[in-house]
Amino acid sequence: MGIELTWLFVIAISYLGLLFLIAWSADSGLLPSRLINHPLVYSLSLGVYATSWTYYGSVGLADSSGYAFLTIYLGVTLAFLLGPYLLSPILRLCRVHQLNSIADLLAFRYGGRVTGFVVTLFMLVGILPYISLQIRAVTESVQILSQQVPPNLLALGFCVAITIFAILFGARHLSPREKHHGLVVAIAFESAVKLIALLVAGVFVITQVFDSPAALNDWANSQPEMLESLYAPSRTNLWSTLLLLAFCAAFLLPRQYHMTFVENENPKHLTTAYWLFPLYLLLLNLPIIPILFAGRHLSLAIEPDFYVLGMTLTAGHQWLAILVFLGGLSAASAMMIVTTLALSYMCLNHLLLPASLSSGKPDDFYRRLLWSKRLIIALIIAAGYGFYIVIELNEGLASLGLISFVAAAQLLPGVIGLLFWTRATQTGFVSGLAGGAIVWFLLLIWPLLSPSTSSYTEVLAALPEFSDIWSLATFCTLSVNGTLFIVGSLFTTPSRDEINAAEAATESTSIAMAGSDVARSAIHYRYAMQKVLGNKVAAQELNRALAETHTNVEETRPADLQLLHDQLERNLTGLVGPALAREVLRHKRPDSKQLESPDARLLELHIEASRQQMRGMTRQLDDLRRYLRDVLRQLPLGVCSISADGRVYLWNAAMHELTGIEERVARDQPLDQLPEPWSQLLQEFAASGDAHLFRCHVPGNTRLASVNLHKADIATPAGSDETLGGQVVLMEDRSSLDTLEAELAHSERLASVGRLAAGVAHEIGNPLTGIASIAQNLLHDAANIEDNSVEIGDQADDILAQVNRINGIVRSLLSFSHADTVGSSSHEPVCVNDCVQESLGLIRLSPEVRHIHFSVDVQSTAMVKGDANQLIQVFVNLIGNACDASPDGATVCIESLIQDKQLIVTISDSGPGVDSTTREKMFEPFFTTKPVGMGTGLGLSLVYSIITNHNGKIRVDSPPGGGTCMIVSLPLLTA
Amino acid sequence: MKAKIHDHTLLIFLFALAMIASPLSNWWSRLDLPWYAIFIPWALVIALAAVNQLRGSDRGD
Repeated sequence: MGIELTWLFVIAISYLGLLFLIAWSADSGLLPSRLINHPLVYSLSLGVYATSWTYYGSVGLADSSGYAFLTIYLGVTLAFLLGPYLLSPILRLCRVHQLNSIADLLAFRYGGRVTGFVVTLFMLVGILPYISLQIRAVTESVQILSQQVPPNLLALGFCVAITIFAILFGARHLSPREKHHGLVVAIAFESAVKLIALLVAGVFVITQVFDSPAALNDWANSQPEMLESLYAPSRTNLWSTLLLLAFCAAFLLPRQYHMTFVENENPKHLTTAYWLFPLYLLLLNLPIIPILFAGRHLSLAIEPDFYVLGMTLTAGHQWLAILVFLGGLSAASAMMIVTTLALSYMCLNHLLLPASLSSGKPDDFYRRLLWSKRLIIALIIAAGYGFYIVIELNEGLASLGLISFVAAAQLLPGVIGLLFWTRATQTGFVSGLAGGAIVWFLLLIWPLLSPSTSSYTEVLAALPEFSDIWSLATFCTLSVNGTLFIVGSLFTTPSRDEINAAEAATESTSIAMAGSDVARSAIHYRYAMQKVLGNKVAAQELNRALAETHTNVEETRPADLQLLHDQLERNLTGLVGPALAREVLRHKRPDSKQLESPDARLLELHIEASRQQMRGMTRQLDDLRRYLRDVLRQLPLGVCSISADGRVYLWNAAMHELTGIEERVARDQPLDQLPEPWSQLLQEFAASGDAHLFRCHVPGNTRLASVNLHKADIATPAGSDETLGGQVVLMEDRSSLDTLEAELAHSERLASVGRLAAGVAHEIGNPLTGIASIAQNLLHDAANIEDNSVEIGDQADDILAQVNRINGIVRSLLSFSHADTVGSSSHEPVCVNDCVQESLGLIRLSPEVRHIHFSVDVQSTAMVKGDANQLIQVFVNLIGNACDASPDGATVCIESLIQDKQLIVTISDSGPGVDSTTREKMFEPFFTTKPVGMGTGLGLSLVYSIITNHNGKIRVDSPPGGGTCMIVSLPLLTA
Repeated sequence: MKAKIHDHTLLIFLFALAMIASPLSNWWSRLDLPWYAIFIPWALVIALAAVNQLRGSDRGD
C-alpha cells in the first residue's frame, strides 16, 4: 500500500509553507518574544545537527556497526560538556567581532584573504556530500512511500523548493548582523517534529510490532549474538574515531557554527544547551534500536536506513507513515536551509566580495550583496544536486555524512591554535589545512569518482592495519594537517595582525584589538571605505558607526578615533567579513606605503616587539597599583595623605567612617576647607613637630571620645610632580579602647570594694561572736534569776536576733565580694530556689523595699549547675531593679517553670516598663536610666555575663501597658 | 566561583570519557547487558551536567 506521489508533494509543500508561516510570525512579532528567546527554543534549534542521516541513516549504521551509531551523538555530548572551555570562548569572539561563519573565525585569527578563501572552498567541497545525502534521503523516502520510482526530476523539484525556502528564511535580510529569529523558531519546530515522529514510531514498535516492552526485551534477549554484535563495535577503533569526528562536527560544521554562535541571542542559552541539547539527542536516539529490531523482526525487504518507513507501511498506518515522512523532511530541509545560509555567508565574504570589490564599480552595494547571497544559495544546492547525480554510493547514508565529518575535522587544529596557541600562524594553518584536504580527497572522494575503484575496499586492502576507512582517513588527514600546522607555524613569524588577533582570541575579557592604525580624523575613514564600497555605502556605514559610538564627525582625539575604528571594523566584518573589513580600513593611509622599505619594516617590527613587552610590564604595574590602592582604601585605620601644597590627596573609607566626611568632599581640598572640628585638628597636627598625638579629644563630637594621630613625611618621587610629596596621617579611633579602660577601672573599684567588704566582715565577725556569747550567757543567767528574768531574757533574745541579722549581712557581703573571683570550673549543683531566697534576704535589708511585697513561686527541687554566689548576685540585681521600678505597696513576682530542659525564672514588676531603645541597650556596660550617682550601669551587664557564663539566656519583656518581666533561662541539671 | 564550576565541568567530562571511551567501557560492554543499558551512563552524564549548570545559575555564575 503506497501513498500518491501528488499527495506527498502537496503535503511536503504545505509543511514547508507552515514552517515559513512560523518563521514569518516570529519575525513579525506575532509570536511572544518570551517564546522566541526561550533557552529551550535555542537548544531545539541546535537539533539541526540531526539530519536525514540521524533520522533514517542511524538505523542503517546501527545495523552495520551496532552501537557505533551512538558515537555521532556521544561525541557531541562530550563537546558540549567541555562548553565552558570550548564553546563559550568562541561565542565571545563571535559576538564581539561579528564573526558570522567558521571561515570568519579562522580568517580573523589567521588574518588575510587566503585563510578565508581556503576554508570556504574546502568547506564548500566538504559539505556537498552531506547535502547530496539529504537529497537522496528525501527522494528515497518518497520512492518507498509512493512505491514508484521517482525520476531525478523529483529530486530537482525538491532542490528548487528548498532553494526558495532557504532564500525566504535567510536571504531576506541584508546584513548578517541581524539575528534570524524566524529561522531559529522554524528550525526548533522542525527539531520538535523530528523528535515526536521518531518517538511515536518507537512507541508504535513497542506496542504494535512487539505488543509490549517486555516482549521487545524477550525478543532481544532471545538473540544474544545480536546483542553482542551491537556492543562489539564499542571495543574497536571505529568507536573512538567516530567520537572524535562527532566532537569536531558539533561546532565546526558550518550549520552548527551558525546555529550555536551566530544565532545565539543570550550566552546563558548556550550554558543551558550544555545539557539540554545532549538530552534532546538522547531522546532522539532511544527509538533507533527498537526500530532496527522491528525491521529485523518483520524481515522488511528494504534497506535498513528506511526500516522506519517500511514498518509503518507494512502495518498499514498511513497517518504514521506521513508523520514519519514529515520528520524526515524536517531533518533534510533544516540541514539544507541552514547549511546553505552559512555557506552563502562564507562564499560571499571570502570568495565573491574580495574579487568583485577589487574590480571597482561599487555602485548599489547593498542590493548587489543581497542578490549575490541569493545566487550563492541556489548554486550551493545545485552543486549538491550535481553531487547526488554523479555519485553512486552503495554503503548507506551514513557514509556520505562521515565524508563531511572528516572534512570538518580538518578545522580542529586551527581552532585549537586559535583558542590556546598564540604562536600559530597563517602559513601553518593554511598548509596544514591544504595537506589534510588533499589526503581527505585522495582517501574519501577519489575512490567514489574513480572508475577503477568503486568503494573503499581497495584502499583498506592496501593498509591492513586499519579495520575501517574512517579510522584510516581520520588518522591520516589529522596527522598530516597537525604536523604541517605545527611545523609551518614554528618556521614562520606571526604578523602584527596575527599577534593582535591571537591576544584578542586568548583574552578572557572582551577587549578591542590593540595596535590597529587609527586615522587622523573620522572623515578619513569615509575616504578609505568609499574606494571599495562606494560613496553612498561609505557614508552610511560611517554615520552608523558615529551614532553607535556617540562620536562627532570632527573628532580627532586618538582614543575616540580608536573606538570608532573598532566599531567600524565590527560593522564591516558583519557585512563583508573580517579579512576584507580590515583591508578596507587599512586603505585609509595613503602614506603607509612609504614604510614599505625593508629597514622601515624591520624598525616597525622592533617597535612592535617593544610595545608588546611594555604593554605586559604596564599591565603588571597597573595591577600592582590597583592592589595597593585597594589595600589603602580598605585599611581599617583612617589614612589621609596631604600633598606638599596642603591639599588632601588620599582619604580612605575608614577616614570617611571616622569623620563622616566623604572622599569626594575631602579629595583635593586644602585642610582649612575641611569641615570642623577635623580641619583644625588635622591642620594643627600637620603643622606640629610631633609624629604621634595620643588621646586627642575631638571637640564638639559626641560619637568619638578621642583619637590617636600618627604621621610621617613622604618624599617626592624622583622626576615626579613635587605636589606628590607631603605627609601621610593615620587616625585611630580610641572610643572602644576608652570604654574598655573605663570598664576595667570600674571592675578594679568593685574588686577593691569587695576586698574591703571581706576585711570588714572578718573584723566585725570576731567581736560579733563575743557579743553573741555574752548574750547567750545573759539569757542563761536570766533563767536563774527570779526578779526581772522575763525582761532580761527578752532583751537577750533581741540582742541575739540583731546579732544574727548582722551575721546575715556579713555573709551576704562575703558572698558578693567573692562573686567575680569564681570561675566556671567551680560550678556545682545549685538549688535556684535557695539562691532566690538568699537574694530576697539581702534585698529585704534595704529600707527602700519595706513597702514592696514579694510573691515567690520557684520549684524547690529545680537544680542547675553553676556558682551559687554568682546566681545570688544575678537575682539581687534583677529583684533590686524590679523593686526600684515598682511603686510603694506593689508586688514583685518571682516565678519559675520548666520547659525543654530549661529552668525559666521570671521576675516581673508593675513599674512603668522600658521602651524599645532602652531594651536594646540595657545589657551594655555603663548604660543606666537611674539618676546620676544612683546606679553604675554595670549591674545588668554583669548579670548578662554571669548568665552567659552559665550557658543560659536572659531577655526582657515589657508590654505596652507597663510592667517589666526579666526572663532568665538556665540549663536544668539532669540526673 | 566560575573556576569551581569549570572544575566540576572537567570532572564530569572525564567521568563521561571514562564511561564511554576507556578500558572501563570495554569491560562493561562485555557484560551481557540489555539493549538499553548504554543509555544509562549517557543519561547520568547529562544529569550531572544539568545539576552542575543549574547550581552555577543559582550562584549567579
